Amino acid sequence: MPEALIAVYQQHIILQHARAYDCLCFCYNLEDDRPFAIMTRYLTPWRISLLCLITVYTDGFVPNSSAIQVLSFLTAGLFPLDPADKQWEKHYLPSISELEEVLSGHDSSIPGRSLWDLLLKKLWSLDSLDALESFFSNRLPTLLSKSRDQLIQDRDNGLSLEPDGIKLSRSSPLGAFIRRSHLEHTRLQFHDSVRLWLAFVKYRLPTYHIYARRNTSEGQDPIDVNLLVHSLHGTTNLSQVVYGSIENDEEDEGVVGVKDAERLVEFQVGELQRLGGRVPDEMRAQLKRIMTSETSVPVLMYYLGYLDAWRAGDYTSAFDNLHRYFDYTMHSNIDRSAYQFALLNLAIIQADFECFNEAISAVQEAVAIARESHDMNCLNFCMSWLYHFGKAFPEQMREVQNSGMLGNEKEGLSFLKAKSKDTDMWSLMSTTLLSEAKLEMQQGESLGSIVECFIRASHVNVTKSLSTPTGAYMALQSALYARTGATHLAWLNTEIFRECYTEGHPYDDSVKITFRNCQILTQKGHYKEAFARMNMIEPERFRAVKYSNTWTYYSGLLELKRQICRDDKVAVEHIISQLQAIQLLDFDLRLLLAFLNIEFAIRQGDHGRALRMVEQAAHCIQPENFDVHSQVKLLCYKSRVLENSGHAQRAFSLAMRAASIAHRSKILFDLWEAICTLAAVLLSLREFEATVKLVESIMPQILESEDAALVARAYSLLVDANMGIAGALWARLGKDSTPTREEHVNRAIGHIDSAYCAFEEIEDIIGQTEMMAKKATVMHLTGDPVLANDYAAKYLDLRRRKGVDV
Amino acid sequence: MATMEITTDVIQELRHRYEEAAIKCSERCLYQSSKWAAEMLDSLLPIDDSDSDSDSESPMDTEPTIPPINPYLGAQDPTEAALEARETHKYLLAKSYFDTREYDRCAAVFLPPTTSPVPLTVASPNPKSRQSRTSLKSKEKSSPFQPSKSQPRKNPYPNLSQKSLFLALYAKFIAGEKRKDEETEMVLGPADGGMAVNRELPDLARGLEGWLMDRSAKGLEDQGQGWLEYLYAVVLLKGRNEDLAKKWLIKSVHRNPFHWGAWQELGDLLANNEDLKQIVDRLPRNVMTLIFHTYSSQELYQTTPETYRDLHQLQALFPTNAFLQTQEALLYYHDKDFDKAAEIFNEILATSPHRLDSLDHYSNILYVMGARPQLAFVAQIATATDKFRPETCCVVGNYYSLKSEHEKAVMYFRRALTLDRNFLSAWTLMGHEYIEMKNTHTAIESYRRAVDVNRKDYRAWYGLGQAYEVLDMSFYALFYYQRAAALQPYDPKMWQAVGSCYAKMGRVEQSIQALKRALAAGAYNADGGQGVGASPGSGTRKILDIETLHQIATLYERLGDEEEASAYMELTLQQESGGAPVNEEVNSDEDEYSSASENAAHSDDEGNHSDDEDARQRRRKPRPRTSSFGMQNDDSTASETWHHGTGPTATTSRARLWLAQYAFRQGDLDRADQLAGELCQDGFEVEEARALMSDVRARREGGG
Repeated sequence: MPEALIAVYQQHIILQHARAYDCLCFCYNLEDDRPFAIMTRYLTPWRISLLCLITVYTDGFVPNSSAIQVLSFLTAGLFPLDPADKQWEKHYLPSISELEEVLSGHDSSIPGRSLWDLLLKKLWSLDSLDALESFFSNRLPTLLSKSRDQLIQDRDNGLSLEPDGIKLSRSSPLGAFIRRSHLEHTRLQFHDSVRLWLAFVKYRLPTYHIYARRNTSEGQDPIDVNLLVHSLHGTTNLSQVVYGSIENDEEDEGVVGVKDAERLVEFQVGELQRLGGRVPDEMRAQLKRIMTSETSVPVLMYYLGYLDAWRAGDYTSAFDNLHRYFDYTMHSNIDRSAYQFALLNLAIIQADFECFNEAISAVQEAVAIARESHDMNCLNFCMSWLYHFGKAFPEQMREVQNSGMLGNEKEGLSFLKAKSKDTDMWSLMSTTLLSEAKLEMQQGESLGSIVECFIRASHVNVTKSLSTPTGAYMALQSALYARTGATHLAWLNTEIFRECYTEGHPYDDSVKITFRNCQILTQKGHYKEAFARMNMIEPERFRAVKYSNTWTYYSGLLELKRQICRDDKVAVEHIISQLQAIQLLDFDLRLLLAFLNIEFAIRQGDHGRALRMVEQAAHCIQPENFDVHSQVKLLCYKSRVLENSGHAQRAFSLAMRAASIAHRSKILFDLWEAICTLAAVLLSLREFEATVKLVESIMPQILESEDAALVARAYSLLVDANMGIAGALWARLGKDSTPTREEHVNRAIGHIDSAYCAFEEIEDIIGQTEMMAKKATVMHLTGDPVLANDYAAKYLDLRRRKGVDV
Repeated sequence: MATMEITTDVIQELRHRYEEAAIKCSERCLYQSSKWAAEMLDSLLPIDDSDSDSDSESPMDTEPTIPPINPYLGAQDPTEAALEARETHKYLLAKSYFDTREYDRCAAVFLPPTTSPVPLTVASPNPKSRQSRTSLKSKEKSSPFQPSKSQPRKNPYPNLSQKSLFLALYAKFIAGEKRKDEETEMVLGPADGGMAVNRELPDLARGLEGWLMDRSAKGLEDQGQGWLEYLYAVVLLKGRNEDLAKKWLIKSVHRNPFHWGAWQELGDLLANNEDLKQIVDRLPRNVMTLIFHTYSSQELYQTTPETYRDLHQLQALFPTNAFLQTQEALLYYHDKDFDKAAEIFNEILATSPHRLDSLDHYSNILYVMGARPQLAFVAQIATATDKFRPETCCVVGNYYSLKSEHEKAVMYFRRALTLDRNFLSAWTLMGHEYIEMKNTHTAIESYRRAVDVNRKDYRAWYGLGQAYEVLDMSFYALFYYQRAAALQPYDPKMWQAVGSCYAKMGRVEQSIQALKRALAAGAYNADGGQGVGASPGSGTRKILDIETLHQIATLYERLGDEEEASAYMELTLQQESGGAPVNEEVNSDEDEYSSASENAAHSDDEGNHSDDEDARQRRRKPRPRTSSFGMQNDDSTASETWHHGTGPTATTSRARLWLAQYAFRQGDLDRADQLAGELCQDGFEVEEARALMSDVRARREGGG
């Protein structure tokens, strides 16, 4: 079965809190050491030098103090490239100078000789092709401990055990390496071994002078001992024939084996699937060299090409490469055992390029095949994918939904949970739990069950040591905290991810979480820091077109918010038109833009447009992507519009609905907003006392939510309410009311200052001017014309600054 | 052979001749012969200093002195010249087709497809063709390769120049060969039974016969250029009509002596030295004959001083010729002077590293010497030049064989055979590998093919014998061993094999004789200073081979001749302490064994000399090398045994035990006791020895 398709077996489907279909991410299980179909060129010079190093080790020349470093160097060279290894490029094809670097610092158990000296001696003891051949065929087997059969045979033949040096167990990593090398060597044809020998000669040539200086034996030829034998008769001719111009030949032919190429490509595929990025430029150059070299190209290369093209948004090449990969792997796939995975891959790429119909038909076929062949793993993946796809594109899924294949969402999720548990697909289970949590959050169900889902997902992550779903987990949890108004916790979550998990997690996650992080910052008015953080993400991560788009969108949203606050109409309209052009598929993000748009319209006083936009947004919401949060928010907007346009009664009922929904589903942040809206309505209904009571009761929570806009709004409501009360007292009691009235007025002045501060933090010019105007008025009312004048001047100053860059 | 004086004229003449040969062979697409001639031309002794100087440095001055045109290059025969001139355009077309390997097309240029090989005028073509078809299977005399005496054939070919006709017919022949090769498919596969035939042969044979008849009828027989005669001979040869082929080849070399291909075919026809002697008189007398004679002598393992002399003579004329150097090396190889042979090959390699010809022989030498690093190096060189040459594959195969990787070795030999089915050494070597792999039946087939290709390959014969011996078919084995021994009478291994075969068949007397012959041959070789010990698979054999001696002894025992047996056992024991080999004993007169101890007491040098003398007296063959030189080159084990003997081995211990028991039986208790004591010391057969000692003690006590 082709490896990439097997990879799908081990893929980890990760749920991102926002979107579904782009969270399918395939991860290679790099520990999976399967035999590969082509292996003509496993042996390379550096592997020979590693073998030599192993002989140095088994001869017992490596003292205990250095053993660990030597062994870890060996294993780093032998195992698949580990992305956690920062020096992986050094361990991939170590050159002789790198060997020197590692070994020359270590003393051997022979006094005065470093391990490097001993290794050199070993390397140069292979003085001819024959020496190399006998090293492989005679020396290597003696390094291994004998198998049971051999022991029995030896006993039968009366041979006694001679324990000399360290014997490597046959199944140990080094033993396996030796056996592999031995086997590969027997597979070599003669000209292949000649080529290996030539490459080896070239590989070790730089060390000749060091070696010759340390070992001053006469008559060592730098290349081949046979040339020395022939030296009497004009060897130049002969050595030219055999070795060519070996000293100045630059190209490193034979240094990279097919296995090495595979190792590299495998690693790259793993990286791409794990991080979702693209192939870096220097790596691309190296891969191209492999592609164009005479050795056969690993088939996985096409898969890599597919992933890369996919990320680059190059539909044609991606498609082409995927098909090519399948064509080349068909020979190992006679029984169609990977067909369903091929289809699933196809579905994913089709969906990503918005060919939804093809995607759905492909995945349906995949489901059918998987059912037919009882391939539970694939079936689970397909179902999971379909679930997320349905969440993302409900209108595309109507047909499938109507066919009743999936059941409703809850059923789908419980199916996936049960199946993933049955088949030990833990990462699927973790993501399914997160999906469930998200669903419940969206539907506004009990916090308890949502938290339970989180705990269970976290438990699976920890006990099964899954690291990939962490990003999704943290993002979702942060969203939960934000909704419940615990902004600090939400902030903390995003910070934790940024501090601890940025490396080695999908770029997608890190972009999203950084956005969350910056969103919170902008709520507090820390625009500069937020933009700095957004820009801190290294451009390497945006080589994939999708991430670049998302990032632009996020940055645009943040900027838009700021400009709306600053009331810069030109900039806002410009940004809005740009953001709308990006056309993201993500529903939540589009909604976010719509909210800002509505906000802007309301601020502009264009109530008709605002109302239309609210209606439009409400219309978009389907049962699949329904979110309580959006609902409450839209209700609030609508209520605000109605209130502003003088339909206070209708606004009141809407605000009441919003508040009750938010209260019922414990979306506390929205609840505070709804209550503020309600308070505003009450204000316009001249229910000042009630307003004050309402707002003052939630004031601590609002402050806790760290949203400067909400805080400012609440304070300004309090100002108005207090002034209203004062006014009412004046109207009712006239002069008698002075002390109480003054108290209210003073309170109002205090609230004005607080509101002003909050508005200033988020650079809300309108709010600031309004506050100034109010203050001036209040001052005027309290009979302090000097201060009133001052504030009026300030007010005018602010008005002038409106729209001008700070 | 007539010695030649090397004069400028002679050289100039030779130069023209080889030039002509190279050009003409190349015109006729006889690439190998052309290459050979060109190589000879290149290595020809330069004309005198003054001439060569002017030759190389100032061609302008020498222009008047050097004849501008090679006198042999122009067509001598005016009719031929006219014909050639007329056909130039067609010839060029045909040649280019041949060069692009479109053989049938090449043939069709000159031979219109309508030309029936059997003239329509012949009364009844049908029965004739049927006859020819049946006769292909049966080896009757009336095969188409046999000139039909009843009716003279007519010339079926249009009036063409000989050059064009040769090219056309040769193309036809090659096309047939190609198809034959294609039919045989895989090496040793189901279709590769040697049954495939070149289907063009009957036509060609008939046509050529007709043409040649026609010529002789017209009285133009002496006008032939020798090429078509050569082709006819080759065609006859393929049809196994060797006598006639020989006749035509001799004719061909008379007409066109500088065509090496013809000589080579002739050489392949010679089965033994007698054949060579017979044929020599019928050959022209020129330098080519000398080369041929030397070459054939080498091929027939005639390592006589005459051969060396001839060779050196030739080398004086062609000082740097790799072909002649190879012949010299092969001669040394046959003489078992491996070091010398290897040295020569080394030189050839150093001077022309891209030359792959005969490298397979070099690899055989290195194999025998057990020189793995060098063998690997040679393989590396060959691979660097061309990995798809049969020679290269053979070298690599030999290397793997030496490494005991027989599967790989077989793979490479097979590859060599796929590249060239007539590559003799690959067949033989593949047989060896199959023997190693215990696949005796395939081994036999492969040896058989080797023998079919070349009947002079004693290794293949010996291998066949070995294979049959493995299969317990001693009678067959004996036959093949005898063939091998006939080809290599001085190789003790052959005789040993014959001897053991006889022993198996219960013919003890003959077995003893053969074994004694083996001893003699071994002693002769050791005598000559060639390290017999290094010959393939004979690690156990020493100066006087203890195994052989012991075998002879046991055979005598079987005959009931205890005295002889004890004598040979004693001899075996003597080898332990070394001492000079005792050649007298191995002569057929058995009573000389008593002097063995005396001889053993001789100092090394004396023994050596006496042996030399002895060898000379016997005059089996003059020794090619002096013994001192041989000593130097001898490998260490051999020289060690020379001085120190084998030391106690299992065999000598067995002999000692036998002797002890014998002495015991004879009542010589002291000796029995002593020998048994020695046995105990050496640590062989200890229990038997102890038992014997206690017996002795018992007897003594009983007696005393």
